[in-house]
Amino acid sequence: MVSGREKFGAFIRREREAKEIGLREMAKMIGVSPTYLSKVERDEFPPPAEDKVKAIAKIIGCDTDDLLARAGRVSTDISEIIKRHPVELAALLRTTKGLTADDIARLARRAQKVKDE
Amino acid sequence: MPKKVPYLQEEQIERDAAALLAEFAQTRSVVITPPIPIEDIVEKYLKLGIEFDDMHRLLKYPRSDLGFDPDILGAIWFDDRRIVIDESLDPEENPSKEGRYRFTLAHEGGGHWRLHRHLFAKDPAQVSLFNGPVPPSVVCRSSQAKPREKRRLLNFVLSNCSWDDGEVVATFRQPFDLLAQTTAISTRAATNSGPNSAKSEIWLGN
Repeated sequence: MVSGREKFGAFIRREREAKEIGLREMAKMIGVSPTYLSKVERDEFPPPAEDKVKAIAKIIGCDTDDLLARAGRVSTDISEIIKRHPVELAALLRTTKGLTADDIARLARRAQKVKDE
Repeated sequence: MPKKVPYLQEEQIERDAAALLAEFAQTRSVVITPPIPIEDIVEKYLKLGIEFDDMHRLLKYPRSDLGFDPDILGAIWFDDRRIVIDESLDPEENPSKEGRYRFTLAHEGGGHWRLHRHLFAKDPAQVSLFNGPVPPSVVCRSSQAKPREKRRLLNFVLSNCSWDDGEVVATFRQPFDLLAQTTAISTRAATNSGPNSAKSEIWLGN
């Protein structure tokens, strides 16, 4: 569940500091200015573009989709997949409503098995 | 409210700066060579967070209307272990400010944090009763000169300037005009009345 979670900026700041990465150091790594990153970390600015969020996820070592969700986004490749089979995938996603994370993971493994056959 | 801090001898400050460098070098197992890794010392050794912001907006303190440079360069919140540097000093956006940025960071972290934080013991009464923003422990201004004094000086300088086709042109009326007149009168007087005329009607009166 995303709501009630730590906000995007506060989360990346905490993770960055835990990994002992400086503000300017990280800003350089993702190609933004320290002032911009500082404002994102204070949640004064909205999360950056998808490629920057993915770069941040790589640097702080967290799951890209999870960080994108914190940023209120869905990865472009996921959107493309849904657009290819919108009716079936919308139905599938609605079916998973109410399932636990473990249930969904099990479902994904079965889907993978079907795909491999 | 301004707080008085005890005067520290230059040697004491030097000694503490040397101690800080030695502690950092030992803890991180590094040999420190210039340029001093001030960001690493502040963020990774002293564990102080760095932020950039518009200090005047943050502290609701009006800017003096002279130029674009801020009057407040940085501030430190001891309880939050937080240093905020004015965004005009962002060294990536303004490379010419690299030196000032580094100096301000060292001033806040190496100076106030190390030398003054014990004077600001955590006081629960200082926490805002209305959940408003907590004021910084120390605010560092760019100059001790009062804005009014700066304005007076600027007015004085500009009073001899004019705006000519998009450029400020300085007009030097005095004392150069007076000097030219004095020279002319002196030459005339010397011609008329011989060698004793050192008295100028302009400089010394009649």
